[in-house]
Amino acid sequence: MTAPHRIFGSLATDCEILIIGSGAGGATLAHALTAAGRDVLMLEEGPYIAAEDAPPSVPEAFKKMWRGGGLTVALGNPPVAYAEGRCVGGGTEINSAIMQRTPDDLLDQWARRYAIRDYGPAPLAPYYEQAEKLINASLTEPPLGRASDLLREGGEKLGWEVTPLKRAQKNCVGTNLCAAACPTGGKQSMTAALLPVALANGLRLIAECRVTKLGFKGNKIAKVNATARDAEGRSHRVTIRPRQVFVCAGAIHTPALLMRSGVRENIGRTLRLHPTAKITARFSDKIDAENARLPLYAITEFMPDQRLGGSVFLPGFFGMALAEDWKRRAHLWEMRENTAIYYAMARAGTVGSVQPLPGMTEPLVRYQCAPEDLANLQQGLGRLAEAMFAAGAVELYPSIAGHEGWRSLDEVRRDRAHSLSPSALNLMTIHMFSSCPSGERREICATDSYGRVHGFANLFVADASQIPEAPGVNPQLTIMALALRNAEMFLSQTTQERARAAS
Amino acid sequence: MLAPRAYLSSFLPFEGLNLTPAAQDNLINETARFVRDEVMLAPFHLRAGIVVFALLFNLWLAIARLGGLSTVTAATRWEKFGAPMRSLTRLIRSLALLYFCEHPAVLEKQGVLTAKRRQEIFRARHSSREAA
Repeated sequence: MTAPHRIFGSLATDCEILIIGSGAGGATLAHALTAAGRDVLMLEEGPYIAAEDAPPSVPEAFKKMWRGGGLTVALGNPPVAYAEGRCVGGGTEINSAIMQRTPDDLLDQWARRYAIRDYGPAPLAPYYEQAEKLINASLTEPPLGRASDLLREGGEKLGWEVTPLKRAQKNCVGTNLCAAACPTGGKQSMTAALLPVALANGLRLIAECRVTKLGFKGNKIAKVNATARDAEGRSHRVTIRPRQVFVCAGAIHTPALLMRSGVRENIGRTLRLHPTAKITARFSDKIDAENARLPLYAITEFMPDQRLGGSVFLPGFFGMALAEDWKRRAHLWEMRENTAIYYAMARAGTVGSVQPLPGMTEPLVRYQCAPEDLANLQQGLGRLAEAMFAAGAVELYPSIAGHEGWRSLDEVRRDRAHSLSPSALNLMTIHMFSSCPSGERREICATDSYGRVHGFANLFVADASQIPEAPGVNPQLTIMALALRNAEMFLSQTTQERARAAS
Repeated sequence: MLAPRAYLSSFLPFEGLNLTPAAQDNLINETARFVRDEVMLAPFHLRAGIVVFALLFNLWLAIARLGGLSTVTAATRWEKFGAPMRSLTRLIRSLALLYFCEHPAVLEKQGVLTAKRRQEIFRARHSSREAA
């Protein structure tokens, strides 16, 4: 990919379409709009990291590509650590690129509950297909590695549905370094797949340019203020006068920007996420998880409420897993080759919030996990433990502070009888959404069915924040499908407007 | 110092690595720097809380040392004061172990490929696959 533009001084410019954010939503939109010959300018807060400059370790990736150095937390009891990409390509640069469609039942429910037009499995199918094609969502040829196989074996022994997971990939050689940016370009992140095409089609992309505020004249955006950094780290003021604006800054920063700019109706108050707890599992045989692909099976028997899967295993992540309770887990350090990390992910009903803080870059994110969601997660952890023991695990350590570990199924069952203490649970997520839900029910929705913010003529949203509720699967494919759908409607409407104006 | 050296050396798994005392010292310093740099990248409202609790933790360790307690015992008692205290030590441990476990010196001593070397190998493999 050609490097994005850099700013050398103050800049004032205009454009037809401004896209704020370059993740799955923004990049897909840019790809579609530039393909239609539109004039598109994209601003991205983070830096551009080419595959050949990918950070050589997770700690360095945390510093360069993860928002807040990876230390971002939704406050509550328990707090939920969340991860966001802050670089060109957004979260797609640091995720595992696992692609799943949202289950049909949920799409149908959302269409009814939020009165979303032309929504549901059938209307969305063409967009999903298009998105899958764009990033080559495909199954990986075996062998997938022992960590993957153990999860599959465990699930199958219990008679549960186990599903191989599609990934966005092209000639992927299984570096297992997805979380630190793919060093080969095999992972079809936005910088590998869509942004190079959009740039070739005329996209102007400015990296390290943070939008601070949207300025309105009536119900239209008149200007957008931003601050850009030059190569020497100096700040410069940037003013854009766009005709249309798409905010694609993700489920945390899209509502934060809109609220900072005075747009508040149904925005930022319905943040949802997938609380995820992990289990470090030791087996008697060698697994060598760090030299294998990331686990590419999931136990889908209990979807959409729970999905059980495997995590990326790298020395640093393993160290972090042991840090939960070093006294009881340090012995695993010597048994790294026999160890792998798995997760239980819950489709939670809890609703959190995003609140911009005056003068601060990062908003306050709150998420108080409801007791029923914690119970759901506890059940998921128990099921995951069952699968692990069925696969031959010797000992399991859940991400619960002070937990002594499980050495048998009886111990798991004994724990199930008691509810978890929230303060001991260590939860994380990389899936956040729903902070600006779409739909025609204006009393609960932030945007219309195609992402246009209610009450505004030229302001749109196209990212995870428009997914109305937790999908129970990795959201990237749904974000891309919805962005394609938004783009199609936008192009159709603006083409008609242009034709009317011309006549 | 956000991550006290005494606390870091109480849990970082140096056993079996056969590092020289100077190399060990160096690694502890680097780890402490990484923890500090990471905390400085955190959102302000989190960073402020972390810094305040880290100062209190440092103070507690100093007092405990004067009272004859070992760092391990002092840290264990600190965690009993409540969830925020536990969160701080867990954060320090997480960041420290993240850095330590990925450090080239540690990986080399363990006979594990460093991430940089992995990148080189996989780039070559990817290039040949693309060419094919």
